[in-house]
Amino acid sequence: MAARAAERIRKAIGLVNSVADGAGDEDITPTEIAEAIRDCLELSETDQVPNVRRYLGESLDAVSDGMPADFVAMTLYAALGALREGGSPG
Amino acid sequence: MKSAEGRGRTLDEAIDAALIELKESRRNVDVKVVSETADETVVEVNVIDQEADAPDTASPAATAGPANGKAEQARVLVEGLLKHMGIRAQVSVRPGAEPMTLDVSGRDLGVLIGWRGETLRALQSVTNVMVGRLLSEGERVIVDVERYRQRREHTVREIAVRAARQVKMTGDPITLDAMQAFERRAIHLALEGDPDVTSGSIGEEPERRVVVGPRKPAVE
Repeated sequence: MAARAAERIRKAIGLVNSVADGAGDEDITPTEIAEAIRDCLELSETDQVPNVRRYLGESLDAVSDGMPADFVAMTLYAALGALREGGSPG
Repeated sequence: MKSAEGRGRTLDEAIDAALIELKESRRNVDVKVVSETADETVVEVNVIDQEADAPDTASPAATAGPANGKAEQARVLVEGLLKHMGIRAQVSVRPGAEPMTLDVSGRDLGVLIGWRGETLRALQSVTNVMVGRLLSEGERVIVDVERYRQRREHTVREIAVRAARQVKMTGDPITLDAMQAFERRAIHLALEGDPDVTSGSIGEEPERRVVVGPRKPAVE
């Protein structure tokens, strides 16, 4: 079920966008974002589609390195895009 | 600014009545709910001032915006990105917008908006990464396609006002649909000045929802 991976990636994107867009209704820590990305990596389906794991790994590195939220979001969108190209219903 | 009042049994009917009078399409107008009862909804529909919002093509400086050349550089970068993507579109700087906003316009740009604006949001992330070196700390660029984001913000503000009205009538909190961060922000901002209601959010992304509830009187 690639849909499950897409859902988890969207959750991570939502967290990052909350930081970038400043909804002002929650405090998101980098740890929470990293946790959400690790949740994505735990799914075996991220292994089955080329590049998804690579982009998720890069986004995790970006969080660890304190890169801007937009950079993390961009990498996560790349993972989502790769998942879609791999045949996921998205 | 051209405007008209519309009346109907439902919100859609009221808006349609005003649009017919104005001879405008839904995408070119802002809608404000004036009153809403079980029998009738009254709206005020204002045509978005296209001339004021449109860039002055005769003047490159006007396109770049009055503040600085950053906006123009961002505009050129996004235009180039879209060209590489094979998308024919015009990119302009929204005059006077804060934060800096780039409007993408053209035909059949639904592909740039995507499901619930997801592609548009991705485009904005890429844009901010590309122009990041031009921006100062905390400064961001907003990207809008065919004013989707602006219309969405107007829509959620309308939803906020209607929810607030219902909360005042019933005293019960209302949980709205799941929304993106910028939409939740628009709701919080729309209701922050209302002395009778308060807004907060519950749930986890991407299912995070705004709850509009009665403001509790301060305990003395």
